This record gives sequence, structure tokens and C-alpha cells, in this order.
Amino acid sequence: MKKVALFVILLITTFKLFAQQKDKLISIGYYAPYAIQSGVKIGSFFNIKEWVKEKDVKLKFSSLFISPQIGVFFRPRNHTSFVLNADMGYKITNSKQNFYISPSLGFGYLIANQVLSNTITLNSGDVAKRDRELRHYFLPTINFGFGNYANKKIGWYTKLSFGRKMSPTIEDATFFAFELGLKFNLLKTETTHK
Amino acid sequence: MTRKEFIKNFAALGAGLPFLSLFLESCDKENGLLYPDFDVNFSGKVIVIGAGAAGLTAGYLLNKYNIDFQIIEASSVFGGRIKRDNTFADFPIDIGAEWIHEDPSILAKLISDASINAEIDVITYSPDTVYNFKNNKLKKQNFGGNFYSEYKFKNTTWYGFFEKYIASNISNKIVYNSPVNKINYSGEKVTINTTNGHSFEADKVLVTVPIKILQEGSIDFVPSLPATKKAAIDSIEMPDGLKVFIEFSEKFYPDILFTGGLLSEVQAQDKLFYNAAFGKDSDKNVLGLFVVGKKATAYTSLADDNAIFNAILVELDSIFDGKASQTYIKHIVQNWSKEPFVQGSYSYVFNASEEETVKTLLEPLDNKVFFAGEALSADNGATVPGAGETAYAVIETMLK
Repeated sequence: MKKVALFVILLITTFKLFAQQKDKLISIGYYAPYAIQSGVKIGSFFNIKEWVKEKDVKLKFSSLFISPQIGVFFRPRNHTSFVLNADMGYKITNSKQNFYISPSLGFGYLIANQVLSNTITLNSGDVAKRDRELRHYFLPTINFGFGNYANKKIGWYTKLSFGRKMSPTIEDATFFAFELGLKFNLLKTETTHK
Repeated sequence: MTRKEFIKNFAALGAGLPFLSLFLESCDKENGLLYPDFDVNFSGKVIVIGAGAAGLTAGYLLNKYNIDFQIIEASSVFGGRIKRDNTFADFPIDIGAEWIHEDPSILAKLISDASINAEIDVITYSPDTVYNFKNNKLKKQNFGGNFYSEYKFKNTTWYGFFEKYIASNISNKIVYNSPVNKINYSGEKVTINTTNGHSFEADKVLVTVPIKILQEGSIDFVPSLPATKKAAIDSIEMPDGLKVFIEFSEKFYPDILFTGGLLSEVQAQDKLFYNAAFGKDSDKNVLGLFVVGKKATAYTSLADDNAIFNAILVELDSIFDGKASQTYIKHIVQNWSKEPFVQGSYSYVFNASEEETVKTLLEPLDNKVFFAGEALSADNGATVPGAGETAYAVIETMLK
């Protein structure tokens, strides 16, 4: 709980810190680790450094970004997990297409509330009690994202992640996930690019 | 659409799976989980042939509705393919049917008694370590644990569950050591003869013997079984089956070990090494082997249990660089193919339309001879809950 609170504070602080940036992007998306587990992820997105190149008559925008996120996903009657992670990557946008790609590296922390056993009430079939165990993992990932903006305020994105679930007490395991969601630009002023 | 069809159709839509089980659970709960009571329009005697999961559940129901009945069992114990060993480890082991396979609320459904005041603990078998041994290489594929989840009893077994909740009030109704060799339903009553010379008479009979026993023709039906029913019986395969448990001084093995391609093995589900002590309150290191079908035949066709175990130990040594032999303590082998009144594992191969086969098998003979068992479950075939469900359905039909 402390870690979650710290991260949320970090998220808000980072948001404020980068307030002078042109964009204030908030993302919310469907998060599916292993494709069959369901969840949601909320994040923010900040450009640390931006470049603009002119090629022929087109402008090409690129940026170094950081994206802190918080997510939750679950597997029914098996576990509920919380993910805190931050991606750092490189985003390339062509303003004419409003389309971007964004490869990144991520580092996350996963807390899984794992169900160990269920106590079943035999007169109804209801679960009277669940024995659970908290499990902690580090979650480094390589990500590939892309998206499109319908207008300056809203766009969709998707992200594929591939990495490793690492724990001092449980053997490592491959991790993969995909996200699909919307990005909202909360900035009121006009921006030259996204 | 049956539950099995629903699952098959949505199996390809991986994203739907997290919601699937919730939806199915809500379907059950919406319709009421427990089987509803029904009005009985029968006052005669019923004989149940076979004291396995289906036969015991049938006896439980007949007792509930105060119907005069007996259960005739060929062997010296009840349970059939539900069998327990209490002495091998510091926890009871199912050396027959072991996994619950469904949402654990099915246990309440099998009892269907809203007045019972009892709880039972069930392990969520979600393996942390999944290995695959293929082409002489042992690969860790631990992410596979995210695609595998099962339920097992924590402190008891299927045998213990039936012993306590299903068979406890009917054990005096079971006649043991009486293999049935003739069922004569030509008259008003049904006459049952056994190999030890006993004879029984009933108004209705429920046959719950394994499909292999029906196939081998050791039970003579008079009149003969209709051709369609005989064809349906013969169209089902009940392959060889084997369970082995080995205790080691060290846990060098993963929670789940496949021997073959991971995806193909998950689909086939015919051979599995698994941590039998997973989730149990035990310090013992017990590795289980479950194998059915042709892979089981490779073992069950060996001379005896010692030959079977030695073959498995050699296999484990080749996978784990000799650690099996180095840390071996003891083992037990349950060769289901050699059990005289079982002769196999369970019925999961249908050479004709499964739906039509099950429908034909469920048809009673002259409204006097009925059939139930794991092979006859449309939705949960080859499982203990499926066997119990057929008993509920058939007994209701029989008594209404």
C-alpha cells in the first residue's frame, strides 16, 4: 500500500513537474497480460526532449518520453495483481499522419494477490474464505507502441510488452501483455504536435 | 448450446476466457446451483450396478427419496475409479480421479443439500514452474502456468469426499464382491445374477459400470442390447490409464512437467508429471504421474508394477540428470488397465458423434434398465462431477 501511495505521489509530481510541456497526456486502456488476463492501465505521458526535422515538405517530430503507469489485472479466482511501471522510450510522429510509433524500455513492480485455496460452503457452493499470498515481482519489459490521434484532444493507442517476471522466491517467468486504449490531451492551449 | 459447446466455441477467443468462467458461474448461480427436489412417482425397488461415483450418487439420491434400493459392487470396496491411499504420504492421495476440473462449487451441487453445515478446502493449482522436456532438452516455460489452473482437494480426496458426504448413509446398502453377469429385463421385474451365484430382483436397474465392462460383454443382457445401443457402446474408447506417485528427498522437479511440445501436450492432456504435494500442508516431496491413452499403454503393457516404475525412474533420470535415482525414497503404482472391473482410464474418445452416442446410451431399456456414468455426461464427460450429474439426471427420470 505504501508503494502504491508513493507511486501515485510520483505520478502527480511528475505531472506537475512537466506541466510546462506542451502536452498533458493521460492514457487509459484495456490491459491484458498473457492475452487472457484482463485489467486496466492508467498512465501519463511526458516528453523529456523533443526534436523537429524537416524532410521534403514534411515535418517529422520525435521525442524522448517517460510514461509512468499504474495498472490492475486479474485472473478469476486465481489472483488480482497490481502493476506500477515506468516506460522510457523514443516516439516518432509524422504530423501529417497523426500516427506515431514508440519503442520503449519499461521497468515495473508487480504485486500479485495470489489465491492459494478456497473454502467452499457445501450447502450453497459459495466461497466462504480464500487463503491468499502476496507475491512481489520485478518486471522489466521491452515495449512497442503505436497510435493515432483523431484530433488534438483524443487518440487511440496500443502497446505490446515483452519481458520477465522476476522474484527472489519464485522462478523467473516470461511476461507478455498488450494494451489497447485511449489517450486524452488535457492541455487547453493549442499544440503544434502531439 | 451445451456448456461444452460454449467452451469450445470460445476457446479460440483467448481474451474471452477471463470472462467466460465468470459468465458460466453466473449462469449456474442464476438458475440455482443445487439440483432442485422433484416429486417422486415410484414406489418399487431399484438396484444400482456399480459403486463408483455415478452408482454412489444414485444411491445417495435414492436414499434421500426413501426409495428401496441396493448397490451391487463387483470389487471389495466402493469407489470404482475413485481410490485413496492414506499411508503413502502425510496427506491422503487420490490414486484414481484426483482433479475437480470444474468450479469447486460443483461439490455442493453433487450433495445438493441446503441443510448441510459443512465446508471443504480446495487448492487452486496454479503452477509456478512449468517445464517441458522435448528432444532431450529440458526447457523452463514457466509462463505456461498462466494458462493452467485446476482445483484439488486440500485436506481430503475424491474418495474422502464421497466417503463423508455421499456414501456415509448408504454403505449398508452396498453388496460387495458380486460381479454382475446377467441382467434379465424380459419380465415385469428385472433379475440380476452375479458370478458368485447370487440373484437380485428389482423394478428398475441402473447400470453404472465402466464402458469397457459393457464392451467386453461380461454382462449378458436378456433381451440383448439393441444394435444401436451396442454400436454406441462400442464407439467409445476407454484407453489405458496409469497413476504413479514417487516420494523424493528433494524437490528437483517443477510443479508441472510436460514431455513433448508444450502446446500439443496441453491439448492432448494425456501425460503429466506434477507436484502432488502442491498446496498441501506437507514437507514431503511427492511427484505424481498421470498418463492415459497410447502413452499409458507403453507402461501398462510392461510385465508388472516394478517394471513400470523402473521405466519411469529411468525416464526421470534422463530428464533430471540422475537426480531421481539419487533422491528416491518410495513409490506406488496404480495400473488402472489391470483393475479387473475397470480395465482402463476414462471415456474420452468418441469415434461417432458424441452427442448422439451419449443420447443413445442414456435411453433406458423398456423403461426398466437405465444407464449412467462418466461416459454418459454430455457436458462434463470423463470426470467425477460428470458421473455424478448423470446419476442425478437419470434418477430423476427413473423416479418421476
